[in-house]
Amino acid sequence: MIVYLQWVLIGLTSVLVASTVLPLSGVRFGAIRGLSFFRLQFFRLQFFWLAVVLAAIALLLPQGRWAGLVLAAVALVQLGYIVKFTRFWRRQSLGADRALAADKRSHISLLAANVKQSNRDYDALIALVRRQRPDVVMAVEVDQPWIDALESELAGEYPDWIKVPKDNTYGICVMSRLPLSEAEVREVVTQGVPSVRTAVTLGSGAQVRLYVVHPEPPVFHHDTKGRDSEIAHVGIEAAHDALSAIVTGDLNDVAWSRTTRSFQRLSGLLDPRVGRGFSIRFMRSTGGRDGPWTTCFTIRNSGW
Amino acid sequence: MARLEKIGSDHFPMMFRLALADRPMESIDAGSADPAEQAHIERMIWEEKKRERTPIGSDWED
Repeated sequence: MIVYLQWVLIGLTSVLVASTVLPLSGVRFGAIRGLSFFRLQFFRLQFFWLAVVLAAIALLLPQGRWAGLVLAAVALVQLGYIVKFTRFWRRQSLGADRALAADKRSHISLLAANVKQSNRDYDALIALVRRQRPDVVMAVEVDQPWIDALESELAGEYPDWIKVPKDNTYGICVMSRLPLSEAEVREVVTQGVPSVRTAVTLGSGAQVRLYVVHPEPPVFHHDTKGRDSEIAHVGIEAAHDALSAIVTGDLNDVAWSRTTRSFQRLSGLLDPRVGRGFSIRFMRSTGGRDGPWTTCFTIRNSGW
Repeated sequence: MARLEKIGSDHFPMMFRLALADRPMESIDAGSADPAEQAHIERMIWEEKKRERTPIGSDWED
């Protein structure tokens, strides 16, 4: 019985160690990078507690002390990822002070939605937009029927539009109550994967740069250089932009990944999730994929 | 920052409200890339731009 338990312990320990250590490597391959996606909040907590429980078991088994130490280290590494995205960590982008909070002309509200191209519940998004009344709406995975539906209902409320319908799940639509200028639709890295760069004029007259991106997802059998390059390219552009920058959309990445940390170093932009908690956007698995798909959203010179 | 209700997609929509300050606010530095990282990234982007391929996942909706 004890021998059986030891083998189970070795197997679980190996899985925990591999899935903790491999995403730290620089290997840009979906099977490796994708492991980061499994680190969503609850799964991380489960990992943490599983490691703690296994550590306790290991200490009771003959020669289990080493396994216990390894598992304890894994738990600490997992905790290290978690804690940055909780309220126990110092916020990276700060809340607005009273004067800034009162100055509504300096505010901007944005709604970002990945509609999932095959989803045809146009009315759900239209109703949500009408309830929330954001200044800017960004929808990704939109094809022509999606844009037609949004435009037929919301054109009167949103005067400025950037429409990039695509049948390959990489379509983008931006609609805004605030004036948009310098709008560009580019395919900067991979043909067929567009992104949007524009300027938004706030009520105060000040402008902010808005990047809307939806790079390729990490998949098991493919490298992630396309996605990583797209995200990095936007980061480098934002770093050299004279305007304060907002990067949003669906980055097909998670807040704690190596790619996102590199993006932040390249851009100098701030992550509002740090010190505030997770915001998981992905609900369930699709086509065998599973995990959280989060929107990275960062700005300089901003209050929150 | 708030997660909104589902709209029939496999993603939750997100809402963000920001205020633009007229000066950089005190905040934690996100760090900066060293020259080696910058060069590595720029090389990766350059190589990736040269590749000719179909975007990943284009067939998922079929």
